[in-house]
Amino acid sequence: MGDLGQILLGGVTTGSLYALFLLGVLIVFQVSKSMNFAYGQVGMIAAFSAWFFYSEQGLPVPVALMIGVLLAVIVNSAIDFAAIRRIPAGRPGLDLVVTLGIFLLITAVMQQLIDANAHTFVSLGADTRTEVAGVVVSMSDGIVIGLTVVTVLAAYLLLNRTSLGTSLRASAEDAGIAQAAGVNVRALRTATWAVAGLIAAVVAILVASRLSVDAFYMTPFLIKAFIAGMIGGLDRFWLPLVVAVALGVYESLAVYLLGASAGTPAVFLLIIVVLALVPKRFVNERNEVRA
Amino acid sequence: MRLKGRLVVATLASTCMLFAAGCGNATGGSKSSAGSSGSSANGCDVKEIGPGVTDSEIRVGTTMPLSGSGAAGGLGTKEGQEAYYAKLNAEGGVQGRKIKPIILDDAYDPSTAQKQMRQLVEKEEILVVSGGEGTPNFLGAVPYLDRKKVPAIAPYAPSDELGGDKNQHVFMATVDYIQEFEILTDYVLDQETPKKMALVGVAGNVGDNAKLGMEKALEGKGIELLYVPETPGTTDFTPIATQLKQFDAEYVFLILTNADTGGLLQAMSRIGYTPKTGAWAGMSDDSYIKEFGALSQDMLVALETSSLESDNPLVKQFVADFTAQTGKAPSKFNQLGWVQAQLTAEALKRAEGLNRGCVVEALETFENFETGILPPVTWGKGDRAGVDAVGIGQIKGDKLVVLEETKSLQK
Repeated sequence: MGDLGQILLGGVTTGSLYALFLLGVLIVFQVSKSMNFAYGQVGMIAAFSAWFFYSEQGLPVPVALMIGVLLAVIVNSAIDFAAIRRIPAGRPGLDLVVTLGIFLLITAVMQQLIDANAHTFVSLGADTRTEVAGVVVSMSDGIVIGLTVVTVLAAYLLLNRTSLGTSLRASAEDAGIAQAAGVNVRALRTATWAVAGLIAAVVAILVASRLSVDAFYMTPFLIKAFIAGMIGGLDRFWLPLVVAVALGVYESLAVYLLGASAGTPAVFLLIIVVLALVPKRFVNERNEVRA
Repeated sequence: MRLKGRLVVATLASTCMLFAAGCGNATGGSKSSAGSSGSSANGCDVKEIGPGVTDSEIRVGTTMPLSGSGAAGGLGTKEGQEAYYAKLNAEGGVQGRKIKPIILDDAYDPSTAQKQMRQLVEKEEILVVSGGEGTPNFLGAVPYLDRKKVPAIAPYAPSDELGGDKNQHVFMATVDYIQEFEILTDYVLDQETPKKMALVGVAGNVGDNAKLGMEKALEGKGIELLYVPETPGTTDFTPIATQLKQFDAEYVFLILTNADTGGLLQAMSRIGYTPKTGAWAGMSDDSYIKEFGALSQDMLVALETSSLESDNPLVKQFVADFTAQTGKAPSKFNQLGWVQAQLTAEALKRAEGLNRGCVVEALETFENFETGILPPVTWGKGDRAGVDAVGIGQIKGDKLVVLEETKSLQK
C-alpha cells in the first residue's frame, strides 16, 4: 500500500505540474486562439537564467528567481507582441510554425549564453520530508499540489466572478464587439500573455527544483500538458486540468507496473484510444458549447 | 477549430519526434552490417594520395552532438580535438602538412550523423574520421563508413557493435559498456558480497550492454539483479525510485544522462532510499561532479580516462598543454577529444603513404601505445578493441578520488 501510495503521490504531484502549466496554455488559447510551442522554453528561461544569476553571478536566490520570472514574463509578452499578433487572419497553423521557430531560437540562445550542461537547482523543499502512512511526503510535493489548487481556483474565480473575467471572455468570443463595447482588447491580450509567462516561470522553477535545469528540460512537460489539453479540450476549463492530473497518475502507474520505458508509449496509446472511442461532439468542444 | 486541432496534433507529433531524437534515444542506433571487408582489403600503396590530402594540409573530420541534449559532451570533445590540432599545427603538423579538423553537428541523432558523415566524406573529402562522441549517433554512421572503407579512429561510442569482429574500419580506444560494467561489478564484488544489485539504464543498446556486463560478473554468485530501463526525458522518477526501494538493492548502478541521473537520485532521496551507487564513466566529468556531486557522494565511477590530478607525467603534460592552448583547465570531454586527435595524428605520422589503406596499416602497428590519458592502446590485424581496462574512481566531496588507476578483465 505504501508503494502504491508513493506512486499515486508522485503521479498527482507531476500531474499538478502538468495542470498548472496547462493553465497558462488554456488562458492564452482562450483569449488569443493561439498555441505557443515555445511556452516550455519561456519557463526554461526563468529557471535557467535564475540558476545562472545565483550560481554563476552570486546574486541572492530570491533576487535571481525574481529576475528569471521577470524575463519569462517579458519574453512571453514579446512573443505575442512581436510575432503572434502580426500573423494575418486566415492563416491557421502559422502560429504553430512561428512558435516552433521561437522554441529553437530560445534553446540555441540559452545554450550559447549559459551552457549546454544540466545543473542542480535550489531544492525549494524537496529535501524536507515526513512519512504519512508509509508514504514519504516532501515539502516540495505539498508546495506543488497546494500552489496548483490555489492558482487554478484563483484563475477560475477571476474568469467567472469578476468584471475583468467578463471582459476577457468577451474579447475571446468576439474581439471586435468587445472593442466596440469599450474593452481594451490589446492590453488585455498582452496582460494574458504576461500572466501565462508568469505561470510558465513558476512551473519551470518548481520542476527544476525537483529534477534539474538545462536548455531542454521543460519540453516533456510541454508535450504532456498539450496532450492533456488535446484530450480535455482547449476551450474548456476544468476538464483539461483534471485530465492533466490524471495523466500524471496514469503515466506513473504505467511506469511502475509496465516498466520505465512504457511511460511515453502509454501516454500516446491513451491519445489514440481517446480519439478512437470518445464521441466527436465531445472532442469538438466549440460545437458542444454552442449546443 | 477542427483544422486547427489537426494542425496542433500534427505539430505536436512532429515535436515529439524531434524531441525523441534530440534526447538521444539510445535505441536509435542502427545495426551495423557484419562481415565488412578487412583492412588488408584496402592495401597500402605508398604512392597513392588519399582524399583530403594536399601539399599543405590533411583534412580529417567527424560528427558530434553540438546542439541538443547531448551537446555538453560533443562541445567538450570538439574543443579537446581542436586544441590538440592547434598545438600540433603550431609545431609543424604531420608529414609537413597541417591537420584541418572539420567537426559537424549530428544533434545526437543517428540519421543526422549519417547525413553529416556523408557530407564529410563526399563533399569535404576527409581522409579519416578523427574520433567522435556519442554511441547511438555514431552507430548510425558506421554502416556508411564501412561501405566507404573510411577508417574511424578512437570514437567515443562504447558499444558491443564496435571493437569486435564486425566493423573493421572502426578502431576503438575505450571499452564497451559490457566490459565497463563487468569491471565495475567485479570491483564491488572484490570489496563485499551484496545480496541484491540493481541497474537503471537508458533503454536499448546502452542499457542492455551494461546489464549484460553486470550479469557476466554476477554469474554463479547468487546475487539478484533488477534491471530498470529508462527513457531520456522522464518527468517523474518516483515510480523508478519506488521500484528500486521495493527491491531493496544494496547497490544501484546507473547509466543515464547527467540530468536523468540527478533526477533519479533526487527522487530516491525524496522517498528516503539511499543505497550505494555506481555509474558509467560519464559521471567522472567535472561538470557532473560540480552539479550533482552532493547527491552522488561515495558513488563508484568507471574511469575511461585518467584523473586530471594523476601524477603520470603524460597527464601533467596534457593538462599543461591544454591549459596553454585554451587558457582554462581541461574537462573529461576535453581529454577525450585531445586523445582522439592524438591517436589520429600518431596514425598519420606512422602511415607510409597518406591514404586510407596505409593509415589502417599504421593503426595496426599500435602496441601498448601510451597516451597517459587512456590505458595503453593496442590494435592489430583483426583487433579493433584498443583497450580492455578502465579505472575505478569514487566521488568524495567535490572531488573524484581514484581507487584503481587501471582495472582490466584479464583475471
